Amino acid sequence: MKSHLTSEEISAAVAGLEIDAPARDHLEGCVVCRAEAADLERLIAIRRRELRTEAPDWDVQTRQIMDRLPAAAGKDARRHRRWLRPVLALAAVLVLAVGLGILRSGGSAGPPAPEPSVEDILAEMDELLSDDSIPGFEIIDPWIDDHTMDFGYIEPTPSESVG
Amino acid sequence: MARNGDRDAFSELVGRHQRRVWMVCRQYVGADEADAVAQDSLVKAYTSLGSFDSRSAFTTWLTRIAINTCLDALRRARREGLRVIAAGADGAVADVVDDDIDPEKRSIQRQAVDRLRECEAKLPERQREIFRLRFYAEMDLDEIAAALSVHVGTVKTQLHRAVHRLRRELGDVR
Repeated sequence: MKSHLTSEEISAAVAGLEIDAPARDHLEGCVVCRAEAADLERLIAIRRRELRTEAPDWDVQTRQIMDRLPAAAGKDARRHRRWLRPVLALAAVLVLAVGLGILRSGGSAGPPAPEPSVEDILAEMDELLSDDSIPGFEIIDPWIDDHTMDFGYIEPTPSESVG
Repeated sequence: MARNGDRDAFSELVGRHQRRVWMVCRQYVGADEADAVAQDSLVKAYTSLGSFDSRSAFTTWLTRIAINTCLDALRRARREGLRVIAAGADGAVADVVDDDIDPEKRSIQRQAVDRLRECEAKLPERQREIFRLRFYAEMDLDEIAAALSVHVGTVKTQLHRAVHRLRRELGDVR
């Protein structure tokens, strides 16, 4: 026969955890160990009853919850979803059909513009290349520009040095 | 049926689970807020019924929603600088000690229950949470593990520690 349970074993029994068979058998037959386990169990039971006295009126709570249920989240939402899917599918098919139609017609609704000839394109390119000025940096005084390019600095113009 | 938006069916679900939901909320947010947070939890459950996949028990799923709603409420209260009342330590306590004992023992029992509340409040957070879910919300170990997303072994260990500590601290007032 096992002697009295250890404090750990009694705690395990109170917690409702498994204890080994000899300990369980002892607990069933020992008044002292049972009383020790029952001490905390009794306090917990009282505390649980205390907490229950704080509970709200359940019918009132149910009514308040039902009043708060959003209409869209339940049946109505599901009905909404039921017709939403086919409508979205139809819209997708329409968009696809319109898109394909545009592609087949060459990407625009009007008649196609006449293509420029190769000569025209080359002429336009030549014109662009011949203009090497940078916008905003146009030459103000051709003399300063030339002098700077030749000597790397600006000398006073002949008229300025006389003074 | 409730999943299809049947309000009557959901009302029945509320009736079946509201006590548990309220008791869970009571453990986290205290007596003053428990009703409001329990209601929020059940409304949230209704709007989320579509995401319930039946793999877990409905009670576990609902309890998890309740716990998350409580934690959200606590976070919001902290963010807004509101005083968060320690659950279990607030308000007047109804006197529900055993009637069939003499006044002196009654008084001792009253003191012991008060002491239990104090000691419970001092438990480490996880131990306190598991202790309360087990004994006050009357959840079984697997339910607690599923609701808190922890291994059932963790629940057993924490529960054993909580009970052992309470027994040790209550030793002289029982």
